[in-house]
Amino acid sequence: MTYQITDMGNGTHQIQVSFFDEGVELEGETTVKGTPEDAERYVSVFERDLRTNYAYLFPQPEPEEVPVDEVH
Amino acid sequence: MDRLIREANPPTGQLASPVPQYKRPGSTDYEAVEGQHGAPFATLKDASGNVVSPATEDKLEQVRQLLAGVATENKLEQARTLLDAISTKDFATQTTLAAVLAKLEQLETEIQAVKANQVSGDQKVTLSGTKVVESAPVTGIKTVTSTVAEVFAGSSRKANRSKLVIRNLHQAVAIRIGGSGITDTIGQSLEPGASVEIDFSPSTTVPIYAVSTAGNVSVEVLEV
Repeated sequence: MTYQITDMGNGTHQIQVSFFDEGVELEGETTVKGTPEDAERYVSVFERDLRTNYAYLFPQPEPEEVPVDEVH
Repeated sequence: MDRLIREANPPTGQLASPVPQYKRPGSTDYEAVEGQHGAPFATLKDASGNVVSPATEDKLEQVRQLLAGVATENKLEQARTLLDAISTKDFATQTTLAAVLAKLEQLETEIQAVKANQVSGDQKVTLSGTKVVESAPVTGIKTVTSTVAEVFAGSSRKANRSKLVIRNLHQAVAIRIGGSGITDTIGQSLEPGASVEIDFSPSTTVPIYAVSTAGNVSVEVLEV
């Protein structure tokens, strides 16, 4: 995931995230009020919400194979 | 005794003949008739015996001018045609006109009342119809933190949205929503489990921000 924070003035920052680097065609954009540090902290929250809401776009992890001898 | 006036100097050998004369009213006297252009002068009197003043040239000219304004036969024919045309019309009677006037006055009163209501803002209206969803709604779960951040359902604010519904999924912590100026103590409070609906004009872009009053709060968001 890549992101960019842009100062919009009046204490507002725009966050743009992209998942193209992961092969997922998803981009997101939001605005937060506060300092650049506040925006930086919010990026991870925004990213997590996008991964949750658009989980169907992301490749699902392969289920771990359980060795037969461990099956009881 | 009446005695005719006779010529004073008859031809020799002839008796004096009476001259053209008239008898003066109320008298036995006669007077010679005077005239002009082969006719005696005369005085016109009306039926009451009053002397009628003959028209002067000025008065005759006035009469001529008056007669010049009299309608010609063509104009009279036009007038007859017009009268024929309107003779078949159903003209309102005075009673009918009075009824119409009363109705107009009533309408005027009502219009003035409507106008007054419009100006004062007291006009009552009833809107009917159905709000139409023109594009697929977007739903999502968002995390509201202590950072004032815009809240929407998808990956960004839905274009031309007409409604935003936010439901606080937390069981104990309230959030605040509003414009970018909200804080954890300023803004519309959305209590745990409560929801709010905000209508928008689709042609206007208005971001809505949210902030938690304590820790992270998940909210369910719908945009239409």
